[in-house]
Amino acid sequence: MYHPPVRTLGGLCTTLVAIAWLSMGLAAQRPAAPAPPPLPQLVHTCPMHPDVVEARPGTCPLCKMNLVGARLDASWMCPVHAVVIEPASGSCRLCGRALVPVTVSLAWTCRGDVNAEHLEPGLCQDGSPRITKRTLRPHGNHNPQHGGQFFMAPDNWHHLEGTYPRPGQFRLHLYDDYARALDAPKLQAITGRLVTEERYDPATRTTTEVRSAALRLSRDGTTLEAAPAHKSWPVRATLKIVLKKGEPEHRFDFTFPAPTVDPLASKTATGTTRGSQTSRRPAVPPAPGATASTPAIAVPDAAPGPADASASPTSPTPSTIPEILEALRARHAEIGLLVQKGDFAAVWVPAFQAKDLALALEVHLGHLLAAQRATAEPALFRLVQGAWRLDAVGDGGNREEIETAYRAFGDALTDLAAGFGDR
Amino acid sequence: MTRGRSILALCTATLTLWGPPPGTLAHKPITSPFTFYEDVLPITRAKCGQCHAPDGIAPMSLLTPESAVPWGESMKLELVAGHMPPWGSLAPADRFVARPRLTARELNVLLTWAAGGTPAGDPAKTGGDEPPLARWSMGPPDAVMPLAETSLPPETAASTRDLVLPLDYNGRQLVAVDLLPGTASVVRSARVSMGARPEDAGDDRVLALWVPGDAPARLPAGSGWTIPSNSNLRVRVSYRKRWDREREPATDRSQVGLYFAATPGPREAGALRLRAGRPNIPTSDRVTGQIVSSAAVRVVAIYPEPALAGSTVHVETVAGDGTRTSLAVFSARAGWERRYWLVEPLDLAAGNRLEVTARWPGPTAAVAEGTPLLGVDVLPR
Repeated sequence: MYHPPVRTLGGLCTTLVAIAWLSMGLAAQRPAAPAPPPLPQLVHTCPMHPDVVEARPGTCPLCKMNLVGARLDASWMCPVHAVVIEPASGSCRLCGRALVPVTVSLAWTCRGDVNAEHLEPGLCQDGSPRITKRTLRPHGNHNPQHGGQFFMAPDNWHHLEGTYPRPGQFRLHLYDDYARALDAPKLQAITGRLVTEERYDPATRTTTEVRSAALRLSRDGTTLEAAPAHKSWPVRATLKIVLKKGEPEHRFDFTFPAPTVDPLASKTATGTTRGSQTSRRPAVPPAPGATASTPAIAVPDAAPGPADASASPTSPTPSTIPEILEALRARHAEIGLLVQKGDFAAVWVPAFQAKDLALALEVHLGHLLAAQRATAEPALFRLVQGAWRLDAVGDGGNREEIETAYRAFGDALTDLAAGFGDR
Repeated sequence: MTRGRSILALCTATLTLWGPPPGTLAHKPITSPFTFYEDVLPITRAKCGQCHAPDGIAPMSLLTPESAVPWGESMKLELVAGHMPPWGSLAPADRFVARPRLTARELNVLLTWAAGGTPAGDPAKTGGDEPPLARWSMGPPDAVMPLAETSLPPETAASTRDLVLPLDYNGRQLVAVDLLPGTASVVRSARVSMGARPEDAGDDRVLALWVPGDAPARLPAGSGWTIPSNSNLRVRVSYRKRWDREREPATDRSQVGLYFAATPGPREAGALRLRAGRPNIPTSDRVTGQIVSSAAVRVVAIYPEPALAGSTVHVETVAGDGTRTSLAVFSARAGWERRYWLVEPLDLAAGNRLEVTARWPGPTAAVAEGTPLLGVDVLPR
């Protein structure tokens, strides 16, 4: 089945990478007199469909409107004061919190005519230099804003953040594609429940919900809330939600190792803006006798040190087959730990590292015997495909899909190692 | 090009290092070091262009950046899901004649390009040749049988036509049969079989299962399908218009190509037909069928019947002492029924059993008892 043509944000990523690299490269080679920073590449985007980003002028493949020029840039925004968007990382000039990465469109304007936007810097009519204007792009901010777990809904418009600030209290923050919080009327149209215990019958392949709590609009109308029965930490819960009447129910699997802490409510402002439960997790040991939604995956014993993707190694690609296979196993274990603790959005990092490692094995296929190659070659393909699949399902927050992709990835790795004679 | 790739690879690594802890990012800091003309087009020409061409059966061409770029996201979804190329998984892979597949590196190139900005690159630096849309992949046939012209009016988007032709080659032995579409953009699949006049029953010998991009194979030397007197060639052609031409009238006049043995061989090709057993419950997620071979035979190919569409199929042989041996595991896709040829024929002793088990992802309506599930092409030993 084919899907209607929709452009991705890949062009945007290209631009960001180029900007990041160029800015660093230029910084390293900067002459005594500072040169003006290079402009981000000019791209063309649809006024109605900002996801459409083309390299050349033309019309939107979705609505046929003429595309307009834009320069996309990586910037840093205060999680509390959205007006504070800076070109580099640092602290908010208003509250001191650490800035979070976002994507903006870059334009230049003049004091006397702020509605006029230019795609180049230059001089205003009064001779003063144009002022840089940074506007948040759709999907430009995928950071949790309240210290919770952040997912993107399959409609690519709704974004969700679940928090669990105290035992028995679940809060769901919903945003649009600009990470703007939905208002109460929009929240009221959303129905769902938080399932904290369910049973799966393999014989009938059906799942029965044992314990759940309905979502309700919070008293202040800013979030949806549920009051699940709390057993122990970590809390693993599945949000089942209908975002629009008549549309299918979506599921998002949350894992809260400990109470989430909202950086916006925190009095201390330093170093807490990332705020996700991942970075703030205290050392809470997993409780025995987990609920029915306990991850069904087995994490290999050979897990490397920290599972946080930020700790992923950046060492050179190993060159020998045993070294590559060992590194692949380490990445596999790292993915497993991320999946186990519910940090799905970070899975793509070790998955793509594994993909690149696996591709380094391709040159060795020619040295294998025919029978070995018959095993290793398709396994290599499946492993690369599996890495991309993990990347694809990671944002969605559906544990079942992610665990299925993880198992397929592990099976491919097992077969790959067998093909290379390393069991 | 190498330098460009190095720079972009460095960009990726740089952004990873320069950026925030990756755990906070949902969108990926990846970009494509691969361009359409230099990296993607040689792959699509070799592996996709037989269908994904301007006048091919596929919904879009992958031979120009203008036609491919808007489908970048679809390409990613189809490739990641394993839907394309359409041959699906088949295990053990080394037991069957392989169809052209993507390598791991080719898959990565296509996905990286589709997800990373779909850059066009330099047309002067492309490689590979555009494949012909339709051709006799085994060379000119010994005999060509044109089918009657089929018209598809504007209001008909899809249709199946059964065409019957007298097969006036008594005693000749067929070793392969192929189909050449007249209008490649509408011919979706074809099943060519041979039966006795005037009524063709279910025991027709299936001579060819044609799907776009597939290639027929010859029966092993010394074997063939002998054409009895008063035989018919039955051709069931499935037509489907492309989405962008659905409201346009179309006509087709395909041809069937016959390849004869130079000298008839001693081994007559036959088929074992595995049919669905009695269902236990009205709905189930699986169906099984089996047949006991009454003679010692040599299995040369297998082909799924349409009833298996959407299932994972496991074919086993069961020896007299109950020993089970897996023959094949594959996913059966609707509309993509084709023959899987064994690289080396598999001997089956008299009294051995062939079993097929098809399993769907969830409960489905039970397949009626006696429904054909699997064909197994065999030769006498």
